[in-house]
Amino acid sequence: MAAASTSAVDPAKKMIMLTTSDNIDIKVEREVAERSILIKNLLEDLGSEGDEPIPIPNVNEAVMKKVLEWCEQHRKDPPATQDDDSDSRKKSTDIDEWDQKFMQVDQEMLFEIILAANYLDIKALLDVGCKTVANMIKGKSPDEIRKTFNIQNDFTPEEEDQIRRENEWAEDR
Amino acid sequence: MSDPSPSPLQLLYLPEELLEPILFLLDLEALKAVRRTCRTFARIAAPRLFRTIHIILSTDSLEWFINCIAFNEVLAQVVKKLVFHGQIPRKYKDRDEWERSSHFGRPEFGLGGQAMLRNRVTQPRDPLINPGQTSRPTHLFRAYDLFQKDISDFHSCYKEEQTRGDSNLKTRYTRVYLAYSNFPAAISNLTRLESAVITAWGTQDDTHPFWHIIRRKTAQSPREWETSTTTREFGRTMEGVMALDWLLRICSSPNAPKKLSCLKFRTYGNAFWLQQQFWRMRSYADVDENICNSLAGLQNAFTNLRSLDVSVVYGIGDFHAHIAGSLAKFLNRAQKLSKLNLAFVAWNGEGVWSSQAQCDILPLLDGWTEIRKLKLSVSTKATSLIAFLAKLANTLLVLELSEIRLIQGGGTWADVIASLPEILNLERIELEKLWEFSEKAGKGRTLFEYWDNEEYIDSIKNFILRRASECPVLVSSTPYRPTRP
Repeated sequence: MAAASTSAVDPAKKMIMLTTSDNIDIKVEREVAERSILIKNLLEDLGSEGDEPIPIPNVNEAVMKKVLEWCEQHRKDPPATQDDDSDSRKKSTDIDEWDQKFMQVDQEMLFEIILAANYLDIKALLDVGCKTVANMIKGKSPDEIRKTFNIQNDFTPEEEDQIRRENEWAEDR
Repeated sequence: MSDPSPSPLQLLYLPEELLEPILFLLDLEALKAVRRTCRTFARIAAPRLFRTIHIILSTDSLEWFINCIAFNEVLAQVVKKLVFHGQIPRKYKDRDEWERSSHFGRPEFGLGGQAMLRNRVTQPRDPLINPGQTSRPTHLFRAYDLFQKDISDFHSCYKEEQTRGDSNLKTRYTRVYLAYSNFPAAISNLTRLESAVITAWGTQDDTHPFWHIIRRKTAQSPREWETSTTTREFGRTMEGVMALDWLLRICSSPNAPKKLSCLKFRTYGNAFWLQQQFWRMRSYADVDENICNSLAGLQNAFTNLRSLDVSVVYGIGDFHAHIAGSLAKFLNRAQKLSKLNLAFVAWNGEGVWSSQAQCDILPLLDGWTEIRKLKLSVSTKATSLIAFLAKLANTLLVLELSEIRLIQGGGTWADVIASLPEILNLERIELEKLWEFSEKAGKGRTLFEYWDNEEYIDSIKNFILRRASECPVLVSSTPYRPTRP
């Protein structure tokens, strides 16, 4: 790649356009949008210009704005390393304060964010989403979990008893 | 997402590949709770919950394993690892004795630990608990009743089996007997089993989280069993012998659907694969013949192993030559090993420097062609050790020598360390607690105790790793068995 001249706009600050599923165009700095590996790869595939709007057919405007808000906050985060896949990190459900506030949304939006983070390939955001749901499950009885997530109990009494017996001696370590 | 949906997006509408990472973040209790909410979660949480199965020598545990897991077509396919805690629970004369020996009611890990224990015992979903009634005796006695019932049958059945093959056992101890007779078929059903851990002795195991489940049921764990009269009654060697033996035997069978690649076992006294022979022996010749037959049935469990972690603690005189010989046969069968931890040590080794010559297992071992990591704790001679390591020189990269005893007349560590860089090309070496016998001083002494300074140990490691050409002078620091005037 040719060296950028001093007068050129910093490519990271360059604005790009995203078109959401509901046909809304959103302008965003390239560096922010590139938190999404999907968008990053698309931009690379389309060439470095990035003048054309990029269609994001699976995410609507409200969710996209929310996701970009997270990307803006985390724009300077170092990329995740391979070593991060260790069990200890995965098991932790600690979430930093800003992310906790960010995730204080209704359940529908929470799940939309998780789906979008998965589609857009933003691993760190997907992690925060999963941790948020895991924290909503922890410490609750089966009934409380059903109530929290509007889950229908579809067991027969026999099945329910069977599951309880199966669980009895289970130990996951 | 973009399509307007009639009902709002819910947790269960997420694709399963996104639910799985959420479940991965849950602790055991949350995972069990989520499994009880609906069929979908019951199914997708199962692999996490039943990938590793722990069993102990109690009828409840074995029945659970057989009926709920191994004979359940779905769950049997999920099990990758089986951990057998083979400690024998003890029997108590009465409730008083139970209470006296139980940690319940006195601090286990200080006061915080006691509070934790109490919380565990009084969990609301625990069937033992009478809500609102949290005083000690109630829980203790109910736990005692449950425990005693199970263990009594177990012990009686074992004892009678041990002394004579009693044909009435079947009817008198139906539950225990059924559990045992179904055990082989159950193991064979675990078609994806890759790894087995057989632990029959060891205080480390006592702290495994699994024992929380046992403690919740019985208010006790092996810490109490170990100090018991039972261990004297059975010579502390009857470590789940029947079941442990079966496990290996089934994994050995030509019909075993998948061979084990990873095995870990610990045994104490008369090694578990020999115990049945000792019970039934009429003469020493009998034992020899029976052992040959018995081993033939077990050796195949070792042929596919990539990783083996074995700890055998024997007593001098307890058929130790048989134990060494049979263990060597197992090890020689494991020709695909890439990682081996081998501890073969005498429990009373401190006082028997000379007689340990008979228990040098290293000359019995053929070596392995793919081995990369080795951790060794044995009694041996310098020449045996050097000759043994030379057999592994082509592939060995990481060597850990820990608690190795050079027996009286068996040379010194200076001999061994001087030859290591000549025969081995290692990436890493660890040295810890190495014993030798000083002819001059007439007593044993140790090298590389934990108080030795790191610089000194590093200089020796660098020499072994060929990073320094001069071998530093060895400081055989600590008198091991000081003779007192």
